[in-house]
Amino acid sequence: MIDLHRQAFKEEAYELLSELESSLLELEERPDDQDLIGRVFRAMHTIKGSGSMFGFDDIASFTHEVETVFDMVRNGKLSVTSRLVNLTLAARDQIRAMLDAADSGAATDLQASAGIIVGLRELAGFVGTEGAKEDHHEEAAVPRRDPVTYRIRFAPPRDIFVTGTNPLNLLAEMKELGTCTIVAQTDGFPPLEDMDPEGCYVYWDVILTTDQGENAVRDIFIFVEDDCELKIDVVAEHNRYDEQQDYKKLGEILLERGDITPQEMSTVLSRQKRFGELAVSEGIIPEGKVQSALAEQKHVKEVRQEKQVADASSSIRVPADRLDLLVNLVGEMVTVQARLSQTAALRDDSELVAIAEEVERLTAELRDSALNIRMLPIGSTFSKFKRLVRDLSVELGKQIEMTTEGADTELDKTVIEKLNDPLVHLIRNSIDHGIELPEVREAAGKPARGTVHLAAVHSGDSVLITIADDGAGLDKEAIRTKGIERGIISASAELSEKELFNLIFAPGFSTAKTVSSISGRGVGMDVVKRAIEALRGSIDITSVRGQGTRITVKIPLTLAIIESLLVRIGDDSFMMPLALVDECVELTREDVARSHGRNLARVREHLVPYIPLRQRFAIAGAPPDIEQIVITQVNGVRVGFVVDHVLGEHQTVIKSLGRAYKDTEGISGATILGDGSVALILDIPQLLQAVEMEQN
Amino acid sequence: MAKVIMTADDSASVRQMVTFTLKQGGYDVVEAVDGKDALQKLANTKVDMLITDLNMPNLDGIGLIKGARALPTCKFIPIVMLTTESQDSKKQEGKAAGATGWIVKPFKPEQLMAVVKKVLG
Amino acid sequence: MDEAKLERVTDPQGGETLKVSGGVTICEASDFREALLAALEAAPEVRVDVSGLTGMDLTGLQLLCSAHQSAVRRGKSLHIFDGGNAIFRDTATGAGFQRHTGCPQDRACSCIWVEGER
Repeated sequence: MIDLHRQAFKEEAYELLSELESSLLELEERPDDQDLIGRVFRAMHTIKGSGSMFGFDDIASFTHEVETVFDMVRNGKLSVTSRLVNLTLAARDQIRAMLDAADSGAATDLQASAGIIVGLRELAGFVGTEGAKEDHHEEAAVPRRDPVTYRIRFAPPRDIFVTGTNPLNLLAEMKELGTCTIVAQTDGFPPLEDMDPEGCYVYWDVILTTDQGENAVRDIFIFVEDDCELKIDVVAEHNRYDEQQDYKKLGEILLERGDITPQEMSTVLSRQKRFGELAVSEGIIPEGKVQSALAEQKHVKEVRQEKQVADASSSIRVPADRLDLLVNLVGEMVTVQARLSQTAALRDDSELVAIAEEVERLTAELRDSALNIRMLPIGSTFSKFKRLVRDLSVELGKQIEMTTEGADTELDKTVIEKLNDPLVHLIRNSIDHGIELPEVREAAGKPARGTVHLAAVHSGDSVLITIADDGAGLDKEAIRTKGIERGIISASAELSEKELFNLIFAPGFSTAKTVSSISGRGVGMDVVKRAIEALRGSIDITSVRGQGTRITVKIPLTLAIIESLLVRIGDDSFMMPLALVDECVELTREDVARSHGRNLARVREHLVPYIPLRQRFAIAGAPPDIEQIVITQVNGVRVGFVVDHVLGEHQTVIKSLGRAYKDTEGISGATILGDGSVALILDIPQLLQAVEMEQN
Repeated sequence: MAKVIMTADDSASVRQMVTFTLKQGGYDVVEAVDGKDALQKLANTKVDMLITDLNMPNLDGIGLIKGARALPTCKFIPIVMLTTESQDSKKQEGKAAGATGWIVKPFKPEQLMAVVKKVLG
Repeated sequence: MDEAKLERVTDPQGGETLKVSGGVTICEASDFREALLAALEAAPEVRVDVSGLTGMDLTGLQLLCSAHQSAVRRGKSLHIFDGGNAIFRDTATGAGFQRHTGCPQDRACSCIWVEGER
């Protein structure tokens, strides 16, 4: 676009230059022709003005010199000589060369320009080289300032309207700068018969709170400030420190404004009545002035209140990777702190232990606040789902309302991102399989409109997300039939309700009669389960036939650090997420012998199956006489893991494994222990799944 | 109905830029090549605002402002003059003649729009 | 802006209503003032109906205010009826004319700008 204007300027300039040439030649013949002089001046003036507008700054500043000389000629301070005409002609050629050069990008002959300028200046009688005056005051970036409240009295001249100024526009501009209270003063109004209908009688008291600075306020009045009465005073600066005391009393304000004298004020103050009423009834001051002072009090009070709210919610934006870095560093710190504590304990040095404990406390606080920074409310995800529900219900001809609860529940940013897809799938499932068509619902005595309720709530170091619908509920028989059909369970299998429901998470399971575009082809729920487990979460279903289904997803608050149980097998250390651990029991040689190799332990009259990890991981060496079973609970099923020793709880900073080890079965990551050695973090759900698969 | 703004300038490139900018801003534009042309057009066209250069052949900006203010239809409209920094005295002269405000050359399209918005509301 | 219209209606009870509609700006200010003066001359009680206004500038607001002051001085009364006209209300508010109590002339608390009395 700008190129188009530049082109237009160049064409115009070439035209002006050729006109200039003939004018100059004529001028040489008739040096006193004012019309010719004016023409030359205007040509230069236009080239200068337009040139600078379209970015030909060199041309503009050069032409300025010629224009200045011709301005003197025009005003009779200089006469036209052949030397002047020669120089101007040379200048004209130079401008033309500059225009040409602007196209080709060739350098212009600066020497020639300078020569002409010196010649012209000599002619004009300027001594030395007066540097081009700095026209452009650099507009420095306006720093953010604390808001300031100004009191502005603006009294326009009576004849302001005949200069085309509309004072209402100026008031509107002030409103754009910030919070603004405007009081029109009408005390100077003449009776109607004496009023000039085209005159301006009103004046204003404006209280304006803005962070734009006084110059921005003054700029509004730039065209009128010479002609009108304008007073701008600072009445309050809203930084953090002056907000404590009450704002000025009414009398003080009026005194400051000069609306009342100190004598008058003390007269009024000597009576024990409200100042404003008194001042008016005593006839000291017109009502309007008091009005405006009262408005100022009110305004400042309101602004201060707003400011407090704003301060409370003020925030800064930080790139997410900086936070990740911080969390990583805190992780390292936690590791080092663990080493420190361990070393201190070994040294048996009470002073060192005290320091280590202090560091431990601080590290824990630091860790919590660092993790806290990454927490975001889950609400934004919720609102996305609203749209999903709306679109899907239209597509399926169902009437569904989505309600949400706990949108302000906070979760680690990464967790929220990774939760999105699984939740979408679960909601789709509820809508597709759960909520019935309106006719079906009405026939069943339910409201035609179904509800999907999405809730998030904190629970310890986890967040529980529930998706509950009031739809048809799960059909246990259909699930069983399908399970048998698909060969997931045997026809004779006795399954609890929970186990039955869990079948829908099995790979390749789908109960939908037809495959719809929404819940896909029965590959969904197992993927959902994997995704949730990858977040070290768990998923749980309850359902009542005809009343609805409730799916609860339990997710740890953060992915970076977990509480875990440190165990040992031989020389190797392992971590088990504490959230999954129920209890630890001993396993003696006798116990093993009693179970006849069936890997079942009797715990308080219940049989708990266990997996000997030493065997599973093929760790060489003999187990100790007394082993430990760490009993975990996954999806409501208790399963034990046999280890050599349980060492205790541990703050585990999760380090992901390198690409080569990423898919190692049963291992989700690693951590570094206090002594610098590495412990692998067990992926309990995955281990269980692998074992189950082998057994089937 | 879009407001009508007249631009009076003997520089075709400035006129073009002003016209383009104003049309972008949703205004209708009437162009005049000098003060005389402008006054003739003002007598027949109702405009909501006038933007005039000061240095023009035939009738200069000051003359145009005075002439416009004498027209009943232009008595109260905003009139903005285009000046250069060196013309501070002209600014005063223009204001005395009835100009509402001024724009200092060189200016950017945004500055033009800001002033138009300021005086036209 | 629409053309300004000033109509005077005298109702049977002798009340005088000045109905102002369209856009009332400085160009119509002189006529507006004459109409207000004539209405005040004609009756002790004047109602200015601005419900049909599509625009008013500062001169109009000034004239209304001055007319009210003049009415009070003459022992007459002048009311504004705006019929909820948002343009009129916004203009008056934007110009800082709205307030909580009337001006010093307003002994009878009839100020046309006081909230809630329109």
